[in-house]
Amino acid sequence: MESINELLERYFSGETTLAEENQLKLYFKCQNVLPDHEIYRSLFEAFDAELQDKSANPTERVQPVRKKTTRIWIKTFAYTGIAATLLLTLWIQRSQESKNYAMVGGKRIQDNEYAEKYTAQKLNEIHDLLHNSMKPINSIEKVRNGLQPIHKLESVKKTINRIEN
Amino acid sequence: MKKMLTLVVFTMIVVATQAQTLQSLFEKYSKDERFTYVTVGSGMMNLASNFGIKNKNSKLMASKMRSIKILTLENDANSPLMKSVIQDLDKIIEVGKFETAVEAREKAEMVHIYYRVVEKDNADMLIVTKERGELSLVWISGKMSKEEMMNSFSQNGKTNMDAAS
Repeated sequence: MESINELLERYFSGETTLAEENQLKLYFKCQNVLPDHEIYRSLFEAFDAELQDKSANPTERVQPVRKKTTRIWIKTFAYTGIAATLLLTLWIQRSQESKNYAMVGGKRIQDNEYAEKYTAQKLNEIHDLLHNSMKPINSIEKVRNGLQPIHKLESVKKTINRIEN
Repeated sequence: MKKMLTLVVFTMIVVATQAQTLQSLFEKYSKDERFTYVTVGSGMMNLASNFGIKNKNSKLMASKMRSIKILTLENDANSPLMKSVIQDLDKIIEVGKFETAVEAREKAEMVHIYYRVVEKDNADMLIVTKERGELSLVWISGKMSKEEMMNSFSQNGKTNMDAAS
């Protein structure tokens, strides 16, 4: 009797442990509840009933309703991503094909030797053009080389002056 | 926000489709039967041997080149097609931030060499030759620095290809 009173006192003060609360519940479930404690029986029965009701009908989790427009955007991005990946794959495959080829008259000629010879010929033409255009520069270089002795005269003059002094 | 995003995507698509690059120019005209298009992606060492390049540095330069693309148009200098190609090319050179490296002219023959360094050591060299009734675009791309690229076609006023002669 005293222990139940003590437990009840602690229960209403919010100091009881789970084990102690279960002890109280069990006490009020059984038939030999003391008349002094009868007033609390309905309270514990109500808690118990509520607990059983909750476990029978758990709270439904309400999902936020997604807007249709959000879905459209997600789909658009997903499809764009897939398309981009496909394009990238195609591009990589294309770039891995042989890179040496020629297009003459709108027709593709897959011939390494032809492509290389054509390239070499073109570069030679450019080389010749540049070489001819750069001739004056080469002449300037020759003239500069030819004038080297004159520059030496300056140092000879300085040496003579030094000796004279 | 969504309207803004749509507008941005639309603008990007429009810009991407309208802005012509050197790649798109070559792609556009390579399929035209009036043009001759040659591309060499690998086998650069073979090309180097075609030039008779024995010099170690020149071989190294050749190995650093990723691709050479040549587009040639044989047409009247005043034809609308020739003018259109030159117009497209001028735009690309301006927008693509190409710098003029060499500009040489001999009688009716002209050579323009443009270059740009896109990213770190990622260089593009564009050689444009205009002769009587012939326009050639040579696009050399490779992984080399600005200095290396300049040295590849110019050594004391002579092209590196002089090793061949």
